[in-house]
Amino acid sequence: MRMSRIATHWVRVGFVAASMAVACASIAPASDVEHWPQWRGPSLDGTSDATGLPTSWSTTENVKWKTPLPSWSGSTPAIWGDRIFVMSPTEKGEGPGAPVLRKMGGERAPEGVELLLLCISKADGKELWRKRLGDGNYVLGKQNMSSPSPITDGDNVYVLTGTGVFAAYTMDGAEVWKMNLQENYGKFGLGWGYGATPLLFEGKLIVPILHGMTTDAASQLIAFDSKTGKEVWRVERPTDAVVESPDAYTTPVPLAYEDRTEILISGADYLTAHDPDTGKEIWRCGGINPTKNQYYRTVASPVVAGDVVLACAKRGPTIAVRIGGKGDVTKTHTAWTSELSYDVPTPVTDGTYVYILNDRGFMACVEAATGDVQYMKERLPRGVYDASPLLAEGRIYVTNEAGRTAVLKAGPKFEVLGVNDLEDSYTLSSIAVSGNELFVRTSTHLYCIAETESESK
Amino acid sequence: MAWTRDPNRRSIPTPRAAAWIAGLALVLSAAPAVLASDDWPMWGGSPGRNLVSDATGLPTEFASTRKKTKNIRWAAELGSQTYGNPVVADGRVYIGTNNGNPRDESIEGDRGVLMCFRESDGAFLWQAVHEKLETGDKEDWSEIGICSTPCVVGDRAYYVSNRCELVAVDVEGFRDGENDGPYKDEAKKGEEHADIVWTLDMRGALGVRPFQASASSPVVADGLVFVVTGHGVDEETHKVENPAAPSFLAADAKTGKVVWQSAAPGERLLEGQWGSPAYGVVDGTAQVAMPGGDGVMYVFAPKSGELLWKFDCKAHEPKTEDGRPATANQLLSTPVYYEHRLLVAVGQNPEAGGGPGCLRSIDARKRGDVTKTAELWRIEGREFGGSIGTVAVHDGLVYATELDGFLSCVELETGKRVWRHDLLAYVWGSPFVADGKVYIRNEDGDVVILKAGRELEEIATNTLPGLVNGTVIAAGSTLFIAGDDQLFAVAEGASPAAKADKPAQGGE
Repeated sequence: MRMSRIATHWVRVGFVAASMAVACASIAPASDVEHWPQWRGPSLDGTSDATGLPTSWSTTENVKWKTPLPSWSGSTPAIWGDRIFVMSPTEKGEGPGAPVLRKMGGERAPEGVELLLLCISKADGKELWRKRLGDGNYVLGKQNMSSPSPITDGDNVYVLTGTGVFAAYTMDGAEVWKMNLQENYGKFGLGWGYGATPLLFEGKLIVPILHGMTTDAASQLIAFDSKTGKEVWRVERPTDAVVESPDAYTTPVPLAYEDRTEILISGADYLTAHDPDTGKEIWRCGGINPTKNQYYRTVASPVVAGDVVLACAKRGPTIAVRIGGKGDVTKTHTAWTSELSYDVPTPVTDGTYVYILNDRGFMACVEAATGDVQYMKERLPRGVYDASPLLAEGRIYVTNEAGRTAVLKAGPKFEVLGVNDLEDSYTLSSIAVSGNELFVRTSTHLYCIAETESESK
Repeated sequence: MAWTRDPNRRSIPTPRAAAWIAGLALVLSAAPAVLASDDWPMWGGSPGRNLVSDATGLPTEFASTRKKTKNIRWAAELGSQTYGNPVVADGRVYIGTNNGNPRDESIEGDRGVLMCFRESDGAFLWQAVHEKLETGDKEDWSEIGICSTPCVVGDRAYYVSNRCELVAVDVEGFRDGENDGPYKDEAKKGEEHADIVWTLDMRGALGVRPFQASASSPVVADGLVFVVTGHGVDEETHKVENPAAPSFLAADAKTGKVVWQSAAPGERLLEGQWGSPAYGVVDGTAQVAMPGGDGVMYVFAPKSGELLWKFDCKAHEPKTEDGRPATANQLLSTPVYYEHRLLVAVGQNPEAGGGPGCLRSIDARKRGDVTKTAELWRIEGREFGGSIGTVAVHDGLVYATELDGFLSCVELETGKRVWRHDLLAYVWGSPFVADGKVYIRNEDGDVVILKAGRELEEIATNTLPGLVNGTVIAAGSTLFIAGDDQLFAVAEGASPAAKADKPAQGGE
């Protein structure tokens, strides 16, 4: 089974979070496929073990409900049981809206200056409560200050904003702790504003602050106790990247093998692995930015695929690094490199094949172990792709900025099963899964997509 | 696979460089001045902007890696991002870039830079360095340098700086020992600095509000310099705050004085204006075509500035319920005059992706608002996606790009598609036709070479280090191909990896 190897290892090292689909089905309060606890889902890799998912929909077909949202956002909803958590700026009301500092191309829906956490009922899409996290929203390119996705473990929901508001609320919206990272740890200095989603791992929220474009301050990784918000460890993450290349918008990814667990960070020209208990760097691999291009900011997160980890910045190359190294492993552990590249979307893998979605609307499939190309640069529906692909039930779902989702057959042959349109609005979020339902956040709505009775005859 | 550059070096490492330079010096002393007919002195090569050259003997294979060097005459270091395209005139090569790799160590930080090299060996001659605008990204986007491609006529080169100034410089820089004026206040007057002859501050003097970048490439004819000013909407309000400011103008080539100006698009500007004018003579009458940021082609009498005709290139698009344009498509590609026709593609800011577009052939002989009467043909929607590329017309065929990565060959007379080639990566650049071949670059750094003609036949695909977007051009039998941080001169039979880029010594 696809996840079994990794799942086994995680259990061996005591990873018993209820989010583990395969390992923890018996302990979890509800079936694991009910939850989408953080950005890349229960398995932290964009895969889901859910079944009975819809493959075709439109604004009227297979829509269980849709709920209007105040504004657009790059964040992905988090789901626990019957609750969905959504980040959004307020809609533009009276007075000045959110300032636009750097915009590049395309229309954006108007929006307000406040940042919100919304809790929405999974059953019917009704809003249960909302929290005002702070104001100071502004727009930088494809980001407003609501890009980091919310995270939940069933006890609390954790949020981080691009303005540095970092907080935990109970499932009913009571504040557990709240701070501002910029006040406590220095100003963020990224060319496009802060946008990384933290990783929740074994009770710790791991926050990467990798920056440099508009600051001389060092980049750092900080781990916080999710219960209290107290700092557990903090390490500097050094780099020789220059200009924009020190900036990263990536989410940390756990890697478990043998008796070890490491936290992977990609960005600033390197892939690094860290001790989850201390943050101490275990290994690092260069080669992501071989020409030391000054504008190679990293957006896509690391991908663990079998025995290798993939990383890529902007226009490539893609590197695959063998796990198990120590120190500088650039020369010793680079399994393969490929000219295939991806900028914003993080690839997805079944452990054998890696499915690489290029922002410009191309799909590629490589064998994880060897880098052997199964297919490359197959055309998807034309458009720009920011959302990361979802792999479930042997299918890959890829959504473009126009809200158009292509459903592909997983495997070494490229095959489009269908193309589904929602209303053409600025869509950046990855699809979240719960039960047999898909949740698609466009700039205007949250959609619950499910096979309806009439069609499942 | 990766080509690695030692940041401290200024050229491609080559053991044979010294020998090559020594040999080159001999050739140079005996060689006659480069023939003017071998020039490519402006964007599009000529005022009509048709991207076709009669150059012959152009290479189809080239490389510059540590393992293999082929057909590289020289490579010259640029900044770190290069949005300008090279031009070649009278033995000099000019290109807009940034200051990411400072030529003058006393000038650090983000700047717009126009560099001038010696065409024979790539030696650096001089540079014009412009500070960034104080208003920042909303008017002068970080690190993109000078995006305008200069137009060289006689002893002057004309371009638009990152500060929205129309600038005339002496092609010799200060190497002629003179400070040509009226402008004499150059901060740096060394021989590696530009001798500015005049500047026209379109922003300061005329109220132009550039949107994120000033990118128009001037065309010079009849003693006048024509340019799209770059006027646009305010980034925050998305409204044209100063609708009376000119979108188009003609300036006296000698003095920089404004001869006429037009604010025709007024409040209808959709975003910024980054297009460039074309100049043509149709039925014995000269005209200059200005691509508007409202999607309308405005065509003027060059000397008087009288509007001869206009054509709404978005006329085929649906409107929103309140009558506003439904797409952000406008005219970013440069129009091309060919006989009695004007050909142009519509598209939007490439950062917003491709979307539906349109390629148009317009009859340039009619007068007035000719939107309903002068359409010869158009291809639109799924048949032709958004484009920022300029077309090349050759032998009854039109070569045109779509941003999403396609090159099409279309019949000039009918607009019927002959073939469409998938370049498998975004295309910002434009096709270039010469020597029976079509050269087209894509965002992945590929230079794809196809056979020109009705049969689709790929000859070769090559790449060079640092290539992103841009357009191949040729002067003589040499291709000029700019990457982000290097400019390559590529010619058949060139010795492997010439060392370039040493500051030129003495006169030429």
